[in-house]
Amino acid sequence: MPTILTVPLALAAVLLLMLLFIVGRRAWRAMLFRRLDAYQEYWLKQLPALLAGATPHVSSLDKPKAREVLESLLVRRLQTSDPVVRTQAIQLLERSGLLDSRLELLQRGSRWQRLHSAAILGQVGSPTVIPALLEALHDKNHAVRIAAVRSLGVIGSAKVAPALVRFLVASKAVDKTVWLDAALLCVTDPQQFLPLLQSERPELRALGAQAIAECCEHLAVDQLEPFVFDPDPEVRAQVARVIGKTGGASAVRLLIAATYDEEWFVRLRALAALGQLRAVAALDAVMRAMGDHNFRVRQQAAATLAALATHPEEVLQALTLGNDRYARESYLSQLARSGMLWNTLPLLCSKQDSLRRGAEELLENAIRAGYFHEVQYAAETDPDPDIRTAAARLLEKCGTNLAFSGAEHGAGPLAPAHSG
Amino acid sequence: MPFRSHTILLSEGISAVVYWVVLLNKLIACYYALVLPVYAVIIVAALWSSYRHRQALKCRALQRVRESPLTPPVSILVPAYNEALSICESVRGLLQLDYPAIEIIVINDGSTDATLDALRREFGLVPTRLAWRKTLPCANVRCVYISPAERRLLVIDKVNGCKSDALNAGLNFATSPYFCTIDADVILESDALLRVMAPVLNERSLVLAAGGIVRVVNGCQVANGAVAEVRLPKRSIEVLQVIEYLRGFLFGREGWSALNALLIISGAFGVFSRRVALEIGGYRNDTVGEDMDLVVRMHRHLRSIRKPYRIVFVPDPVCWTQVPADLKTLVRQRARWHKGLLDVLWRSRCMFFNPRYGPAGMLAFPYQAAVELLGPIVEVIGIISLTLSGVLGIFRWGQLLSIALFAYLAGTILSVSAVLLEELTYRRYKTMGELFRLLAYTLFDFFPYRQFLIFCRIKGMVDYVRRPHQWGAQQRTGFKPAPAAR
Repeated sequence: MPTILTVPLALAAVLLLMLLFIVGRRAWRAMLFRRLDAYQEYWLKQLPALLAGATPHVSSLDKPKAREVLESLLVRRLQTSDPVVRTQAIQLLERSGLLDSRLELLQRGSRWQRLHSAAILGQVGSPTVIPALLEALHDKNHAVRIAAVRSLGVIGSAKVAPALVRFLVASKAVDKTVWLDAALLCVTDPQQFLPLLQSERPELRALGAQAIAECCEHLAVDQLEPFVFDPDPEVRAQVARVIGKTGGASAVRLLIAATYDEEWFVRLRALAALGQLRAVAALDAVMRAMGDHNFRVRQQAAATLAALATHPEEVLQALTLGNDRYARESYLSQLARSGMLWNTLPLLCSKQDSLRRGAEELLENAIRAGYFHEVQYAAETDPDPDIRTAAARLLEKCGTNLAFSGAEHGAGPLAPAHSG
Repeated sequence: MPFRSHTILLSEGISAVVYWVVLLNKLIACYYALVLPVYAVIIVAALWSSYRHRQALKCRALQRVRESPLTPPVSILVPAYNEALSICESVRGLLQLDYPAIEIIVINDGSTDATLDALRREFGLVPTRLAWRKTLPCANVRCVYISPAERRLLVIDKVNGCKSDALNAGLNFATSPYFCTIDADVILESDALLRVMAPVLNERSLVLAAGGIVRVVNGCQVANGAVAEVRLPKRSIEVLQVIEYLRGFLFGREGWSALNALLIISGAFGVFSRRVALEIGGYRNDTVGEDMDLVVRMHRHLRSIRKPYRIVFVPDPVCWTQVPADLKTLVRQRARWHKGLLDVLWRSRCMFFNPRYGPAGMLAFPYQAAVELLGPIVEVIGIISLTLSGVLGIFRWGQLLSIALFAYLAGTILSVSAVLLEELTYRRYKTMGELFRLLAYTLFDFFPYRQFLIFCRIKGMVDYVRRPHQWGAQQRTGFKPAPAAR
């Protein structure tokens, strides 16, 4: 019998241990937090005097938990934006020897201590810790190196930017997220990322392009010009995106050039960027893109066109004359989706002739193309009788007298037009 | 003489039965000898992945995901059938999501109640026409509505189909590179979308799909469309489901995600690449496990074109869902899930032990087939075989007790491990009393709850064999209330 039950008994013991561990851990945590609360209460009482210049008694710093609590209290104080509080907290960290012991642990501690110290020093954020963290970028342990990168990012000093870029180039495998987070906080001049775009390693080029795309406010468009024609389509797409953010004298010209790119997603980015820049000068290029062989590019062109056109009725007229049903539908659909057709309705009663005529022309063309739902709905339900009358008159003029009934045919899909 | 021959025949018959029972016992022992190490691998992978994720959380600046111009927009698809009571609250909650660019597409799937009227009143919907391509097959769209006050909202009113059909219709109208599927009766935490999309921005390879954890909302205090206080439910059947969800998500999905072999992203809350979904033909209308089916076909597609990809489970974005509070509903739900599993696995049977599909084909697929699908049958055969072994004297009763104890304890250790992982990581259940209750219920997870689930699953399999293409009244998960007409 004992041999039969050996395995179940062993499993029962494991189960019991697990249950005890879970309950014990919860109880231990509760106890630990009570003890930490007691230390915290003690230090909070002492803190005003300590911050004012007193030095903590050596015996009060004997226990590691007591030191930890004081350190975490001070680190929390450092997160405040008040420079006086920050200075006092850093001075107290130095006076109590907590900062020195952290720096020493970062250099000579165990792996876990180095890791923890790198994280804490980042939160301290004092410039005095930067050299130690830069040194930690060469630590033998990958996790410590990453923690150092992260902490340098938290400090966010522009001085460390070149070291971060060098670290990326020298490293074989870097956690992309951590590096980007840190680099974006430290690098104030995106030009420092430009060399990455010329790297032979594709992952560095992509990372450089992403970094530039995320912090492009201060980048001049001239510096990006060579990369509009970069052999890597990912770089070209990101650069188009950046140009859409930065703008500049030659931005529209470069983006128009990018609308001819062989890759559909570069063309799409360029069109989106033109929309962001509200580049009316690019109207012709966007109109041309309405006939792009790729469906997504056409959709983006329609969205850009809806954003660009100050006189949508003229664009619609041009598209109607162009006899491209898909371009016209895409444009009208964008106008409907953005609410522009609905928002144009009150202009039917405008006292300004030009506005009223523009609205009439737009809505008339829309109704004739099958986009009558908004007008019909307004004719039936709008609380303003003038708008109801104007909408009804417009419908009558176009010969559309259908009562709104769900309009199944109105919601019908487009047949596939082109490939892509 | 005849008496002797009868005795001989009887003894020969018994010998044959004994032979087969011994063989069965050996086969079942082999089965568990293979399955238990797989469990161990999954647990280790889950622990490793969980540790890595918690490390990543320390450094992941959600702020950057929120502010980055590279964060892709997301179309949120909300299929709604007879959700008049909750749909407005759900949509308002979605509009409050902390995410830079969302488009919410509510698909009214031919509701027979006032779902559409409620939306029209609440958001001032205006009928419109939009150009769209019927890239994916779906039932007729009756009308499209926009909200002039809330441009991010689009409502599609369509003829009744099924959940997959509604999702396909939504996909036809979606414009973002990623889409998120959400059941109309779940609660998302405000930063859930941001958290689930973080890997999309940060991973090196294309992230095809990402899913968050689904937790049980029963018993929790809900206020203003958000979970105000996490509590364990009162009913035993609900608490057992809490443990089951913890085990399924924290171990199962976390582990498979670490191996890039995740076959399921929950349809209640999952993010998918729209381009790839369109490439593979969207959701299938003739399956109930549409979420799993989509993920499995994504694996197949990307493996066949040899493109690196990731399908990830992210354990910190939480979606709170209501689980069945009565046995009848639970039986129906689980039978339907198992039917869906069988259907999906059968359709993609070419992946079974096929090295072409990598870890998904070599590990996850055989696991799903052998453990999740056939596990209930093996367990029933095991119970019968062991009982016969006792009756026929193959095993002594002491040995039988030992085997039963071994099975019970091994199963319970798995359940307790799930609670342990929860305790080591997210600790959503704060009080000691709730922890004790949770641990106490783990003792009933392997017996009798598991046997109950076995019954549900076998019912699902039988149902599939009898009526493979009839999903009947159980077509929707989490939709309330489901009328008998469906």
